[in-house]
Amino acid sequence: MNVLEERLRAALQAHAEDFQGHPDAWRRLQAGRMRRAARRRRLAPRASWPAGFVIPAAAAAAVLAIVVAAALVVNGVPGRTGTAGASRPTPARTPGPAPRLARPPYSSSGPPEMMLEMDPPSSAVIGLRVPWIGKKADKVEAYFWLGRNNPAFWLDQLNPGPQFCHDVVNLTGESSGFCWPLPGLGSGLVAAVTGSEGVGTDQTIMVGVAEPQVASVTAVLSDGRTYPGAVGTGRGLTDKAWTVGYPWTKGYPYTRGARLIFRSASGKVLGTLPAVAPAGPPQLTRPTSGGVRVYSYPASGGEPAGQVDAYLIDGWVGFWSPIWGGTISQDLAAGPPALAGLALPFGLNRGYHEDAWTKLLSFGYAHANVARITLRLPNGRQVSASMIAVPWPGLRLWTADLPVSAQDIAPRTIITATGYDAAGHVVGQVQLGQLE
Amino acid sequence: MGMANLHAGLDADRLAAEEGVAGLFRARYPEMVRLADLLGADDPEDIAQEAFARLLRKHGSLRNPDAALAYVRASVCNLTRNRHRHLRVVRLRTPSAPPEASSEQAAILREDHREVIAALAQLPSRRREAIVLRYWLDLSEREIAAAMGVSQGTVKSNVSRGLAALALALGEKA
Repeated sequence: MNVLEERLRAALQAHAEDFQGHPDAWRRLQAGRMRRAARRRRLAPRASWPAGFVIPAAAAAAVLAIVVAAALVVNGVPGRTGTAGASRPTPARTPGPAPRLARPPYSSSGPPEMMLEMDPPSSAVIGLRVPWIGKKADKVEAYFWLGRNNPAFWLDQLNPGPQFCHDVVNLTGESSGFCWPLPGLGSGLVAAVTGSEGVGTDQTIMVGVAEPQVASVTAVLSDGRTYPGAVGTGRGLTDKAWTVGYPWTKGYPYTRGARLIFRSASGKVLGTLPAVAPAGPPQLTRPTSGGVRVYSYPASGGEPAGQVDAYLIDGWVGFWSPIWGGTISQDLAAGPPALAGLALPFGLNRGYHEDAWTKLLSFGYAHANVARITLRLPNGRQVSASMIAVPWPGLRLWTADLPVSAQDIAPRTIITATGYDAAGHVVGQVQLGQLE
Repeated sequence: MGMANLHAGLDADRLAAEEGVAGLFRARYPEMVRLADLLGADDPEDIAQEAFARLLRKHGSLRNPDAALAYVRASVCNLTRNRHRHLRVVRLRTPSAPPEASSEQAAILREDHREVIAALAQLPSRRREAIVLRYWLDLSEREIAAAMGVSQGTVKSNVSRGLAALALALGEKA
């Protein structure tokens, strides 16, 4: 257990001890049962709630459906973390002799033993160096290896098979890293981010894997500054490993607008990825102009009419609506996935804990090669989205209006959006996620 | 007669079920109140009571005490999440300052704990749930997945991302 985990446990324990149940709680529960039963009867669904787009004043329990799935590779932060000097929650040794490790080519230090014990290497351990920005003579070292799954470790139990591990060490000896199942490359994805680590207080190190034809990686910031990274491979590594460092914006371990450019040996750009770190997207401010109307809803039940607007801000697509009090979603427009979106249920709030959705509004953006989008509900029902042209290069928006019953979109319902190109081939598929 | 006996049998079943719930309530109610509190419920007692009330309506669950506990735990998570939805709407319509710990609580909690709890409160609900279930209740991934109603992979992701966000907020390594 590392320091953070110790602090966390202590704080949770202390906070929990400060909270006691009411000594008369059982009797109150029994009494409450009768009140709740009466309330349920009063709040029984209407026989014919209007099918149109209605937001009653007391209703409006709107919920964001978070886009999951495809963004994982880019946003992903993955599985387990390890920090030099920290102990593991469930110490476990893999039987048998320790593997003989290849020496990292650039360093005599290597990753910490704890990391190597976590998922013992089944490949060479390779080391790549990038500059420590602002410290000319110093370097940051990133080590990579394929690790054997260690099922004794509670965080390893879910992902059988090899793990792609990294550990980033700066020259003060600080180190952090983790292992995660190898992401799948191909289908146009030449590289994937498997993690990011902060170095000092001003630099982010991104790490990942790339296809064999990738020879270099460069981080390019929105102001044009470039930071070269390193690409390498070693015995037993099925993909190339890469790392690149760049300065971060205070408060976020990435710099807004930063892109990672992957090139071949001849300098040809093979692909790009947004440089997204685990802390999530920036807090975008709604511009005063330049928005695109995605959806409008009428005044109802004392609520004013409203709308959903989209903006492209420094490479991020953001959606706003007054009824949700501001930003309701923002995603990086570049890089995978080819389409993204979210789903918002509108409906009748039937009381304290029970919500009955009567309408589902889905919207999002897609890359230009997505000609049409189909949404599929768990009951098999399919709905085509309307595509909206926007004056943004390589992008379009989409929206779909789904009058559905509460049963159709029960909590944790997964709605799948599939994008097709003009020839009818699937070019992307995302789950619009759990409704919450 | 036959119908009367059937009613008598049903009543006996219901009484036995209530006794079972009462036993679980005595043993676990404070824990469920604390869980709701740690998950950020504004009225943890109401959440915990509603969770047990739902269990009372599910008599069949009592045949397996472990399943009953898992059911209550999942109910606390779901109810707290639903309550958050409701509160979010209320907050959007009636801007107000975020709730703060009472002065009494503030006096009791150490500064460090308050910092951690404050950082925890900023996490998305799923990550917060996963962190609390893991580091306070010490549940296994399988149990956390059952309580949250998600896959174990989602648990892993939420724990990892939650820790990463906490580390960032608290200036530590995850």
